[in-house]
Amino acid sequence: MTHPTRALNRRTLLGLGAGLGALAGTGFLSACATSSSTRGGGESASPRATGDPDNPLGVPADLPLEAVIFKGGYGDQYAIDAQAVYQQRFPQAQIQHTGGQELAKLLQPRFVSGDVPDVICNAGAGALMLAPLVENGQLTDLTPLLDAPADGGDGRTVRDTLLPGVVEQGTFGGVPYALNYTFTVHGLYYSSALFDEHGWTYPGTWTEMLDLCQEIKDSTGMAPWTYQGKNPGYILTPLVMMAVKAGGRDVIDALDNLDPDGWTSAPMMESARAMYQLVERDFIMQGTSGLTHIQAQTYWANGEAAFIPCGSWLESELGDVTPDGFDMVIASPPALTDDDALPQAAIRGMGNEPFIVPAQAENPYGGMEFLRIMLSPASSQNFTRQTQTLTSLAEYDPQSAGTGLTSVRDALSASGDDTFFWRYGTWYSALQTEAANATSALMTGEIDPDEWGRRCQAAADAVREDDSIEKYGDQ
Amino acid sequence: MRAGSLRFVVTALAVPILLYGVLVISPYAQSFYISLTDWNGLSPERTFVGLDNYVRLVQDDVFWISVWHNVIAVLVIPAVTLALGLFFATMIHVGRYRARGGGRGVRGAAVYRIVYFFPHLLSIAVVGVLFSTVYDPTDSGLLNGALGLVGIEPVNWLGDRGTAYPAMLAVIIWLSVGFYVILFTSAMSSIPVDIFEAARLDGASRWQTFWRMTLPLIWDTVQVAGIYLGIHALDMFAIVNVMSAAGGSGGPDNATQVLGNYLYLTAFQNSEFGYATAIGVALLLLTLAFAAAALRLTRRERVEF
Repeated sequence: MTHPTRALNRRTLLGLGAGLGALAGTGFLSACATSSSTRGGGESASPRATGDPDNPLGVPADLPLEAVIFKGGYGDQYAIDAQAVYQQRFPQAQIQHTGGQELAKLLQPRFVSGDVPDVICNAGAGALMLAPLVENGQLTDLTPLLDAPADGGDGRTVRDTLLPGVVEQGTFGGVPYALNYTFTVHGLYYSSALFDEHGWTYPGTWTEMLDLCQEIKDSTGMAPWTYQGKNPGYILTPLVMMAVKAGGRDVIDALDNLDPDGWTSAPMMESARAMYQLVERDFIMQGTSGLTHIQAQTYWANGEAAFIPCGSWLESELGDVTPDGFDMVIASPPALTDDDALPQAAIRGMGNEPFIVPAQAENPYGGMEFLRIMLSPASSQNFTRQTQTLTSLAEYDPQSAGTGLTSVRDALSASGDDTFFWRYGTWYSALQTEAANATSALMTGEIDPDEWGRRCQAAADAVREDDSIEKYGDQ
Repeated sequence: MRAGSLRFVVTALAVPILLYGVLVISPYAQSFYISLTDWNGLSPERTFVGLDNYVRLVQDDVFWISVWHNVIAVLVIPAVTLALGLFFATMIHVGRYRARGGGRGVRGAAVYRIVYFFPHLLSIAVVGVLFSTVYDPTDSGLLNGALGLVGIEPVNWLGDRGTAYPAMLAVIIWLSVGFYVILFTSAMSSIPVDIFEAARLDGASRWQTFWRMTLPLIWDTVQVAGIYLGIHALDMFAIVNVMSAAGGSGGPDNATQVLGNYLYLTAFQNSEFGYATAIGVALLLLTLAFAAAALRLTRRERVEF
């Protein structure tokens, strides 16, 4: 017999392992030492007009530029391409690019020490939380960028070329600190090819939705709905959307301002009861609550379920998984009542992928110039070509658009001025987490709509009563 | 103390103690200080808030759910892993019991040893992806497919709050057993064969041989293994972070939340480093309490051979 472990002194090894294990389990935060230095920050970013059409922000030509870009579903090639343009304009500038994930872990120590990049695409799971950065004054006011002439904007300012709501969504306490580069629309996705094949039409009202679900279930054995079970925030979105359309923008204000009946208002409860019918009538794909977003979306694309709620990144996220001729399209959820305050076509559209310029950046105007390049029609087209996703720039021709992106543009133009968004999730992460957890329990039938309302409202109340949490709504 | 030996002891221990002080004691002391502040982890500024974080901790439901889950892990993982490890090691080592010459391993023992060790070589991230397929809640999942053959309805392993945490514990046990099988077989090999022969001649059954001889003779190893497993079980961070959801929610609805993951979410998702550090200090106390209790409970007469 051979004894593979005999050569090692196993007690020593175990002892060491136990010590390291205890250390790893309890002490890893200690890596953030208590001592830290504050470096003198960059100059304060006050608006300045140089009048130079080639360099309206007055970027010092020889300063290096450091960009940290979230490298997720969209990759980071689009940012590298924009940096090439920057390099052409400022040939002396040294450009340093980092593409990465889990940016909070990457950048948190750098924010503490003050040695920060000049521009950050702060997106994805594990992104930095913006609210504390704003609270600490660690971000640059982007007003100079918004007031600068847009690149390829025929004399208009950057602010004027952006889609409505984009500036507002990056604004904290009246100051624009973040600029959302992509524009995503949220709704229900379905395969138009499949619907044509079976002669189904997208339902305009919730009653029609339930009828169609019954028909889908009876005639095909396919599950009517699935969702990204382990990330229940996805299924909360259509619930809130239907409530907003039924009750109007007051519903959003009540949620964002943490009103005492924000979550238990009539439209919210009615929407929760509507969604709960999917559970009661067994319209949700079996096992959905245990699926990751990738699993759920893959099952949906393979025809296991008819509807899935998602944002317009879905087409790019699924990529080759989607079968040819599937023809995915997006639509706003059905109208909850016969007299909804907003039209059925009204849809949730909002900026994503927030770009920030740290206050202590060495080259804040370089960071803003980089964003100005990114928001040119040429860069936007390049981004859409690579990702099948719209940028926040209004009225550019995305050129290469698949069925998904075409339907996103159609949905957006049908929605027009009724496009809406809410912000409580960005402002109060604890509330977002608890509301998503409660919705997960609702959609598995573990709790009923009344209990759901109580839980969500309790979470909102807790945030409102907690003085240590900075509030952003206009209360 | 003889002349000169003091100097030897001091010089021999100076470097380890210095390293221990810098790398272990000082970070813990700093952590304890951070846990008394409202630091958000992003700027050098922080305010001293006294015991506020600990008051909040005691009132935090999710904290107590996490503690409870950690306690379950500490009780279940070592017990099941040690039992399975001892069972497989015994089978490999003395499974075939001969009338003469004591125990022999089952046929193919060498192969089993290697196969049992395989899971231990995989990283938790790989295991997480692997088991998301095994635990797929639809009837096309590996486990549900197998259960379907015997007519059992698909189980929503990771989506149901009743099964999610046990499913994760099972993965950790699956992952750990192999290492302890190797450890225990090598410990058993170091027991002289004549003792077994003598016991056999005296008519001891296999059961008696195991309980009265094998186990006491390798007790030191089992004890160290138990403590190591316990400390490992107090972590649970990686598996929960990988298997609950993208970014590690500890879901569904905190049904798999453990202290390590809750600490991580508090620090990196909610940017509350002060509070997260308080959770870390609580976890440290729990670890120390476990180690002390385990050493006390498992103390036994040492058998020399």
